[in-house]
Amino acid sequence: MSFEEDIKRVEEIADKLSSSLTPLEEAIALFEEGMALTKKLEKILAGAKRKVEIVAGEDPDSAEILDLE
Amino acid sequence: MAELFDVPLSVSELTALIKKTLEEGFYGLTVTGEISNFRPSSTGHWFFTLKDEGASISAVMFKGSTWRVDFSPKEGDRVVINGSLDVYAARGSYQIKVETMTLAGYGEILAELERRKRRFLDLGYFAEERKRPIPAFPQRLGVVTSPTGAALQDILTVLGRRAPGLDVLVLPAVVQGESAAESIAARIRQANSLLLCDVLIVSRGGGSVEDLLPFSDEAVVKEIAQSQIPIVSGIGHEVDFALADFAADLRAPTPSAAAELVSASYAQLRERVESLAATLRQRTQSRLSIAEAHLARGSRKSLAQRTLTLFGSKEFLLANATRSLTQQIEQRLASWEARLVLAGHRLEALSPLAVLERGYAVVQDLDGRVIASREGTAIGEQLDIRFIDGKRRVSVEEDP
Repeated sequence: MSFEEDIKRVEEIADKLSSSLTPLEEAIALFEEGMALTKKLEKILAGAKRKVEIVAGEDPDSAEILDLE
Repeated sequence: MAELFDVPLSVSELTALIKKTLEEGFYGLTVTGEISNFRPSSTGHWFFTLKDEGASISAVMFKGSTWRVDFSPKEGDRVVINGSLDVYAARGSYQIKVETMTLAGYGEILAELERRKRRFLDLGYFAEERKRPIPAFPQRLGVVTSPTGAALQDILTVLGRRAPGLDVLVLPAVVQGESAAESIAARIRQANSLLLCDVLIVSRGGGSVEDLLPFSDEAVVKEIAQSQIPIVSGIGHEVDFALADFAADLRAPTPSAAAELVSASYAQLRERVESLAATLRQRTQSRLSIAEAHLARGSRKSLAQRTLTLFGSKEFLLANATRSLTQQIEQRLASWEARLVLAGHRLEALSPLAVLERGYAVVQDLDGRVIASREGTAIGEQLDIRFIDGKRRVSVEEDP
């Protein structure tokens, strides 16, 4: 699932959880699913390690790229 | 030659006359000169000498005026100041008290920038309709700036905090001096011809108006206008501006602000995910509280059994949570009984009898009113003392 779809799903789950029509057992399962998704999203957003690179040459047609960080 | 004054003058009288003559005669001055021997004091005042080829004059600029100066004066700067003469009687010296100070040539630079701005406007460099939206979730950000400058560090710091997964490509450029404009323009061109990134920040830290001039050069402005990659400008401090700002797709007041704008969606998304997670926890918690209340109507045994069946399986353990739902429910069950016992203890603790049990007694008058103060009694009066196991009547004899 894409990031945006994941978020939509979590929002859907939050809506279902606030409804008293959702049986408790289903609510627990939804909660689990929602927490797993938010963990995954948080990991993508906060846990990913960026690459910082620098262009070495000045040639406009080909660039050598080196690690900076 | 006739004497100017027919009586001898004291030094103070002469100095007072000089002071009056100089201060009343030389005010509202505009003076151009070169700064030398610049000495900022720890209290915030600036002391320096203003000089040209043939002469020099001491100058002082007080703290109340210095904050308005938008550059950091240094040795050799050619400046235009406004001020008035000031005589310091105790030392017999005079100086110029500076109210405003600008770099010489500042006016000409502004006029030139204004001419360029009109020309660039005519050339369509600033046209709103060709401005591209900044991508909400860029994958790789290019930064055209000095690789050793503070601007780059600021940008990397802000991004590291707000969008730690966003890749950054530095396109090192000379950002000051004669070769700067061409260097910056070449990097923007390079990023476009090789499609090195999906958004570009063009940036440098604060500096004098002259320092920022390359960012108002036609080579740079034109390249920004033609760029296929959306560009965010972050040049100088809040008060500074460069013509590149008008051509950029988005103008940020500083390098840090440019990084914040580029990472805005990432930061918002993180907040959204965090708040969603909190909502999930809170709603589940409240569902459980309701369930608990329902269950509490049944017997304790069936309550425990039903809950344990419900939450006992591994699937219901919260991944990575410090306390699982199962534990929470079990604790709640255990606390149900404990709470009853505790409530009983609390009631007891509140009872005055419990206090008496600890060895305290209550003093009452014969009508049963509680006497809480020495002043409520008189010598010879009769009182009742109430102990845990009954009363005794006593009479007040004297102060101990």
